[in-house]
Amino acid sequence: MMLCDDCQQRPASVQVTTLIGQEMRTEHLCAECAKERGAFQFMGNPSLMMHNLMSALLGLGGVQPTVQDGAVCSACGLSFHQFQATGRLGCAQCYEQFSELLDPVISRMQSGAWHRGKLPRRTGSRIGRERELKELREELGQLVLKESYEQAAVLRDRIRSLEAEGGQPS
Amino acid sequence: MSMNEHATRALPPWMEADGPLQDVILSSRARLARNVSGLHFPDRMTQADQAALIEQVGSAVAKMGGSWGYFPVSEVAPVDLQVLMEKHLVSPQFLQGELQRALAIRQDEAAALMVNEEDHVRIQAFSPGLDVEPALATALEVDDGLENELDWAVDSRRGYLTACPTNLGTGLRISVMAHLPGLVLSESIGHLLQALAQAGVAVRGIYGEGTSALGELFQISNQVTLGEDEQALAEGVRKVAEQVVEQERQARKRLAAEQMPRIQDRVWRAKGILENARLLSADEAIAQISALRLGVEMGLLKSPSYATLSALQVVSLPGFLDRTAAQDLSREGRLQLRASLIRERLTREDG
Repeated sequence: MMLCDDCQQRPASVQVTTLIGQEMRTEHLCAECAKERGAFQFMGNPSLMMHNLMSALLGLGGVQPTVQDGAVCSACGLSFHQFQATGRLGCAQCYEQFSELLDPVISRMQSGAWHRGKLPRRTGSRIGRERELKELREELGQLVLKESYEQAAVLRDRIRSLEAEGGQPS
Repeated sequence: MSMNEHATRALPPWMEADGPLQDVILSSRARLARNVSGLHFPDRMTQADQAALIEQVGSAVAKMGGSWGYFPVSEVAPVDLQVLMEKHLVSPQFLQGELQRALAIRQDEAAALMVNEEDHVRIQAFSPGLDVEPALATALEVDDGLENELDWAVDSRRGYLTACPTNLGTGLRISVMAHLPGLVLSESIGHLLQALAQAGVAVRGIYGEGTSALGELFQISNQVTLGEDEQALAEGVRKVAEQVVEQERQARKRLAAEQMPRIQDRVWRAKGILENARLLSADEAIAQISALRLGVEMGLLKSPSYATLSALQVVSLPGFLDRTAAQDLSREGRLQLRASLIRERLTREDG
């Protein structure tokens, strides 16, 4: 009779195989010790955990696959179904093109829908500061109407800092 | 440093110094995900765009301050890549990638970047012990350098645009590597891990995922990347890690008070095995190095240093062994070389 590798007392009834680098490690555990190890089972690759969370939200988040069945990004050709399968978008435009489907999921999965934090000092030619300011002011107006004051405050700060930068050469 | 040096040197230069709370936290890391504006994300890039991006990032790296090496993956031996992964300079996903890829490593190995992993560019920076802010500062500095030459894909509301929405916003993942033998031995790790999951941080075992956490090493990292700024995210992980350190130290104190003979036996047995064994498997080496580290952390042993302990860990892994032997070793060959390299490192320190 094979004894449990952990306690060396009870008979082994479970085989656990782990891959370390390229080497396989096989252990034989009893039910009790295997159960104890079970405490680790919810751990996984962090990006995978987030991916699973995201998949769950995509399923539950009021997404109606029947309506959006044919949704395809016109910039890169990625379909929303492909995204659901891999968890990866095809290009920056996907965020706009799938925004109705993605935005609710993102705000639930993340800590809000608005970026606070670093932005490139030198804004790319694609996003001129003026265009960005115009968009932000429109969005700010909508947020105030919706009484989303916390998000509006973040936006107001961003607008102020953009306006301040406007006085300096970029 | 040449690729040859990166692939044969077990201990990254930045790990030679000890950091804050080194008795529980081995190292801190900051990772930034970035994509270049106007190009499809890696999954949907053409061959020509992949090659062009490698050129573009290469010239941006060349113009950056500091001493960097830039290596297209096509020019790096697979075994060297494996060693870089074992040293956490590139990710396992990067090794499995099918695109044309490149990587850059700073001389001191405290900063590195990957081109065409999940995103166009992934920047990583490291510091010893629990010291997330310097790692973050280094990563942001590298980002500033690249930004002078590259237009990142960004929008005002969503921040930096990433291939996976789980990295959106800051693109920042802060993580620390924690050694938690006290909590594992006293069987209170399960509760702590559940509490951490509820606190919004992700935890995983470093060696072996799912059913085991070999070596009692865990990685703790932030889950959210959008909605808080970089400093707040770093502070969040640091505060959680500080609590974990406190819990682990308490667990060790309890073990010292209640089960000292058991701890001493574990530590001295590990010392005996590592200094004398002629054949060592990776899992045995990792487990014994963990016990030896516990001895140092609890003040039962004066040597080896934390730096040597970290070097032993890299020395134990298959890629490093194959690279050192300059051939694909048989299983038996690895067991033998591993035991001999570990003995050599431990004696070197004694003398």
